[in-house]
Order: sequence, then C-alpha cells, then structure tokens
Amino acid sequence: MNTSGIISLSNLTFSYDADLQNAISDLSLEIPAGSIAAILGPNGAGKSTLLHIILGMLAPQGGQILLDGKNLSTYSRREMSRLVGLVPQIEHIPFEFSVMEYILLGRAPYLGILQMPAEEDYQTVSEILRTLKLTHLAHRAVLDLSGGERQMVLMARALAQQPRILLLDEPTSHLDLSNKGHILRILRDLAEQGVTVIFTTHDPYTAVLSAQYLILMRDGNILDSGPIEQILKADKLTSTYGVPVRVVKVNGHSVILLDQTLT
Amino acid sequence: MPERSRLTRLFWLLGLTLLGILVVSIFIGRYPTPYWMSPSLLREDELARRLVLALRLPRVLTALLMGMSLSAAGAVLQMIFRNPLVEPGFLGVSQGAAFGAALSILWVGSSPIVMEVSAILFALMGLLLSYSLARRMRHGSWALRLILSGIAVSALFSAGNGIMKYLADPLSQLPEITFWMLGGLWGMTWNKLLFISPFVFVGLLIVYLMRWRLNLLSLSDETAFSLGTAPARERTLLLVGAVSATAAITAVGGIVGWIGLIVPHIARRIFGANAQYTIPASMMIGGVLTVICDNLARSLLPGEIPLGIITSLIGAVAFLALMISPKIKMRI
Repeated sequence: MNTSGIISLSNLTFSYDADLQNAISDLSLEIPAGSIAAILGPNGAGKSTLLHIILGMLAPQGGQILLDGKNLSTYSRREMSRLVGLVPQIEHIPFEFSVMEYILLGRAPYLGILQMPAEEDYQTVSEILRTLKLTHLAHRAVLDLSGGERQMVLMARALAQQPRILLLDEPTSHLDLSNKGHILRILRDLAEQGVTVIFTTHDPYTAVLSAQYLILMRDGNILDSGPIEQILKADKLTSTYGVPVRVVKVNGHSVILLDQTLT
Repeated sequence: MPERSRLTRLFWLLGLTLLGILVVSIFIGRYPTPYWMSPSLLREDELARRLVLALRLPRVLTALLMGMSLSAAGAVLQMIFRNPLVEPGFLGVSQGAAFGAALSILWVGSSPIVMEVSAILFALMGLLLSYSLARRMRHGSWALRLILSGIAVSALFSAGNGIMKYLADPLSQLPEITFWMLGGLWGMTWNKLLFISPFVFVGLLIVYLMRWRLNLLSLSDETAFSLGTAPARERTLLLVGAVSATAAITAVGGIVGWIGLIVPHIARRIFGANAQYTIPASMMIGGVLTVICDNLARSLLPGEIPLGIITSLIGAVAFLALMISPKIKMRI
C-alpha cells in the first residue's frame, strides 16, 4: 500500500444551513493509510457530521476530500461502498435478522441490485465470524445479543464490505471495560493490516488508548488536529471540554483527569 | 447449510399446498349443488365447463394475485417504514385507491383502464400524504406517527368516499361504489383480469427481484447509504411497485383488509426476517389465504358474502393470537 495519505482533507467547509455559522470550517488534515484517527469532543460537537462527510453522505460546501488520491465526488456509489465502511452509533434493527443474515448485508457492495448473496459471500462472512470469534453467534437473532456482542456484529457487517477505510461512530460509548478493550484491539489489528480507521468518541481515554491522530471538535468547529502527541495537551483538552483537564502519565500511559474538586 | 435446505423444503411444501388449493378451488362453489362439484362433470356438463372456465378460473386466479399483491405490499411497507404494524390499508393506500375508483365511476366513467389509473394515482397520493404528514408530526415515535397519519389520511379518503356515495346515482353508481368499501371478487372476468395483469405483474416482479435489496433498505439511512444503495430512489421504486400492484387489485376487488398485515407476520415467523425468503413466502401464503377466503365468500351461503368481511374476521383473530402469544416477539 502506498505511504501517501489515504484520506486527505483540505480546507473543508460545511454547514447544514447557509445562514448559520459553519458547522465545519477550513479543516485540513492528512491521515495516512493504516493509521487510527479519533475525532474527540463533547456530545453534540459535530463529530458524526464529519464522519458523514467522509462517507460522502453530506457534501461539503468548500474544500475537497481525497480518498486514495482521488476526489471523493468522482467515486461511484458502488466504489465508495467497497472503499469505506460505516459502523453507526445506534443501529435500530426492527426485524429479527440472524447474525449471519445481518452480516451478509455487508456484501451488498459486491452484489448487483437484483443479486442474492452466493456461496462465496457466505464463506467471506464465515471467515469474518471466525476472525472476530463470533461463530457461535451465527444463528442467534441480532436483537437478542448483549450490547458488546451487538457492537461486534455491527463491526463484522462493515468488515464484510472489506473496506480500506472504516468509520465508526462512538464505537465504545456504551460498552463495559472488557468489551471496550476488545473493540480497540480489533481496530488496532485492522490498522496493522492497512485499514485506515476513523472513530468518534467523547472519551479522551479511548482516543489515547488507540489513536495516532486526533481531531478535537467543539460546537461544530475543529479546534485542532494532528498527531496525538502534539494535540493531547491539557490546555487544548480544557478548551475542548470547557472544564479544566489535566494530562498525567501513569506507567507510560497518558491519563486525562478532571482538574477540579466537586464541593 | 442445514438452515437453507430446511427453507427449501418449506418452500416446496408451500408451493404444493398453493397448487393443490388452486386446483381444488375450481370445484368449490354452489353449482350444481352447494360446496363441491364432481370433477367428472367437466366432461359431461357443458354448463359446468363454461362456469369453471369463464367464471371460476379467472376469479380464483384474481384471488391468488390479490393475496400475493396485498401480502407483498404489506411486507414491503413494513420493512421500508421499519414498522411491523403497517399494511396498505393503514397508510391510505387502499382507501386512496377506492377513492380514485369511485371518483372515476362518478365523473369519468367506469371503463376499467381509467378506473385503474385513477385508483393507482390516488393510492400513491394516499401513501405520499401519510408519509409526509408523519414526517411533520412533532410527537411520538416514528411507528406511532406513521400509523396516526395513516389513520387520518384513510379517514379523509373514506369521508370523500362517503360524499361520493351520497352524490352517486342510487341505481347505477351506488352499488358499484358500495362494492369498493366491502371488497369482493364477484363479477370477475378474464377481461378485467387482463386489464389489471400488467400493473400487478410489473409491481410484483419489482418487489420479487429486489427482495434481498429490501433488507438493506430496512436499515437506517446512513447504513443503507454506506452499503452503496441510493436509499431514497430504491425505496421509492419498491414502494411504487408494491402500491401499483395493490391499487390495481383494489380497482377490481375493492378494499380487502388485514391480509397485508397478517401474512408478512406469519411469513417472518416461519422463514425469519430475511426478505429474500419472506417476500416469496408472503406471496405464497397470501395467495393460499385469499383463495381460501374467497372460496368461503362465494360458497358458504346462497348469496355472496363480501370478501373483505371474511378476511377481516380471520385476519383480526389471527392478529390477536399473534399479539397475545408469548412465543412471538414483536418490537415496535
């Protein structure tokens, strides 16, 4: 895989409504292939909006996005779905799909509009289930799974697209510690295989654990972005969250603490 | 995969049941004696032969198409609106179709083709109205808003139907309009069947061919988009297919309720949620159920019982059983 940035954003500007201030203004960032970037900020900062722009669902008013050196707008829908996968924050599934049936939906980018999944697609999905150690869930209903299992299944569905860019919206926000660790380990493995991972989170510690690049957002604005060691600073996090924050090293890990006592 | 071979067996079973019921239905009726006509009569009795070929056969086939269309449309609407409680009759589609048909009887003339086009246009308008009203409502979940706006739109159209009944000529037009409201297939001829066939077949074909795709379109917009679909365009195509089949069949059969609600539930119960299987299963189960109901409608009593009454009775009881049964999970 080439070492040039697989995702490159330059002077990106976006707003939902022309009259309102820009939801995103003048964002430039280069994320190399096979790295993990975290979009960090409080709830409602516009993190999902940025994901939707990279997904091609929202069109920016200004600037450009290059994926693999090619302008995003020149990709067809099918090409995009093979390149970029999305794990949404909440996936409301109203019907009792089995885990197998649900993950098979991720094969859509490789199937025509009237085609049904074929034997190869079942095999691809079985492999993904094996890699993620989910084989025992294959015939369970997605609705009956626990929160952690469900998040894994959503991820497996996106991985069935065999994407080179994986976007995740708050992948760990409602998971316990062990599931959180599990998901972050999988993201790291994916990155090592060359997949570029971008995820949003409101929890700085989740970002610290896994990401090499950080985008700080607040009120729809990008406060700062770049390699994590340059961005993860007490003053920057303080302005992101609007509360005093301290960055402390514990056993070589950066830990973010709230720098105030509640009295 | 053992799972898929089990489904194949089930489909064979269902297919054979459907075929058997179609054949048997031709011999059910009130000629020469109530309930059953001996097949040997086909060779001996000229009148029996004509009756079967000219009246019973087109009627049984129309009942089959009706069941297939209503059930397929119900399954499509339930998946696209992500709401297991909708059916064509709940979203203004059936009432809209009846309104369009009545309008055409009253002022344009009751030629079948005009009536059908008018029924289809108003059915689509009913769906569109229900959908856009639901989007504008401020309170309640999406499922609830859609049902509320569907009820409101259906009520508007049935008020319109009421007005037209009032204005209609009591001797020539009123019976025809009243027929829409109750639903029934008496007076089906090959000619009428021929008129609706293109709409029904094209509609059903779209739904059938796109059945696996329908799964994707039942996911949230962002997920469906990320999987490479064009959610708005593809959903519209499926809705137009489902609604035109429903509207065409409503144009000859009137409002027949409950089939579209209950059959997809039964199909999902047996075949799972995957629309790749539930769509053909819904079509077949819907066909079986409607042909049986129509057999009852035309043979149970000396006079015809409106089909809509029988499907409502059976459908409502089945629905209650589904809702109360502890084994069945419904998530709304």
